[in-house]
Amino acid sequence: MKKIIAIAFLSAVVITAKAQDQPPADEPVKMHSLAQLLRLQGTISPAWSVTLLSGGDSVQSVSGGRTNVYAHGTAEYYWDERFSTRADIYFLINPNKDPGGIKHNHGFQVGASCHLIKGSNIDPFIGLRAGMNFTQVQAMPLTDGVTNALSYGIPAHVDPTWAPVIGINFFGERVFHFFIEGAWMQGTYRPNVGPQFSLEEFRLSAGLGLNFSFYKPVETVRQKI
Amino acid sequence: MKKFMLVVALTGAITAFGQSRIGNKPGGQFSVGIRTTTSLFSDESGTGTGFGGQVRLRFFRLLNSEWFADYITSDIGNGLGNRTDYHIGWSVMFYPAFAYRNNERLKLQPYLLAGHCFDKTRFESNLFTENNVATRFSSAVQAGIGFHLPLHDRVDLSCSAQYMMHFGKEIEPHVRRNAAGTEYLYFDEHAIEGFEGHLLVTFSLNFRLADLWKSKTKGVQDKAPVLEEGQ
Repeated sequence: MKKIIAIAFLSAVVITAKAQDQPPADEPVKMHSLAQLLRLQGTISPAWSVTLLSGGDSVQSVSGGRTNVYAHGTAEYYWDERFSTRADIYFLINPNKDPGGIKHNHGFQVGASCHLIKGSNIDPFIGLRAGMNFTQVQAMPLTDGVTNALSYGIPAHVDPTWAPVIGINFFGERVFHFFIEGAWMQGTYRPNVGPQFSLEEFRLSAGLGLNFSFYKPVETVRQKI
Repeated sequence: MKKFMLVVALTGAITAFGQSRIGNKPGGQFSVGIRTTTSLFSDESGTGTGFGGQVRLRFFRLLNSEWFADYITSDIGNGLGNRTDYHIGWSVMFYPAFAYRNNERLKLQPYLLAGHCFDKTRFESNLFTENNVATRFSSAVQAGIGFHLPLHDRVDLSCSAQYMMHFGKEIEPHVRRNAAGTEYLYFDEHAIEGFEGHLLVTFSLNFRLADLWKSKTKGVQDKAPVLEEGQ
């Protein structure tokens, strides 16, 4: 009998203690960490050639002399305060209709980021990503010195890319955050026929993102850092 | 109905993965990862960049295996042509005994690797009137060194450098000029088989999904189980 009473008493204590861990239902959960956070964002990203900055290149650039604009989406998961993995997709939304202009330049990249400050709602980070690009340029005149093709259709090609990334997030109330980041895309479009184009460009992304906490108990909050 | 069964099967599989415990013995770890590879010092082409994926199955504490696929493109003759490599292969990774100290792994875990690979290589000239193409299938052996840098209990960053030696039909690119003096590539395909190699530097990010032969002790991978105070 004593054993039963003791077990019942202990169970009551444990249950009460557990219940006290949970925040009251009418109060938001307060997180003090970015760990187990899922960050999503979608934005429009302008991109510029940085060939001049990197000392010149004999290969033409896909963004030479113009600003490419991409629809850019990101999903990022914070494994802990320091480290996250992310996946990004880009879709070119302003193709250049000039001969030899960029027609398709879409891609995805996967990578990891290192977050420089712990326990702050200002979240600067650096990262590295790698992925693939689907690229094609518009039909263009080609010549081999003997034969002239006035408008030769250059085939599309899939090429590997990589990019160092730097940026900063600012986590505000609940599910929203602001972000600004820059990715220095690296790669080369190597079609089966026709000239090669450098995929090197600097892509700037900024805007408002969503974040969801997977920290138990499940609530979509991020505040009181 | 079939779709429903598929959804149920997928849900079951995901749940099973989600519930898998990571034991404190590394044997049986199953990981998937993505990788980016740089190809250097090739006889027939310039520096190449690649992207791919891999799965890893660790047999024992000091023995791991990696099953990979890579897609690598590189330049030939300063823009005159392209080379595309498709690799599919495996490597066995040996961890030296000093990779563990006091039964705990080092922060930076070094390893030796050696393996085998099957390849398809495509050489192509870019000039539209001389779009020469040469393709070869070959098998290769590779060996090198690398290290894991654990970023999280379930995630690690790995870096390796390995020399891959292809054995297959020799294809030799030559720069030729047409009547107007424009350069293009011509590929000389030799009947004899020979060796051709390149150095591959690979960075990969790996996610440990499951411990396929579960250990009885529950705890964090490669670490002693966390003990409460007083235990």
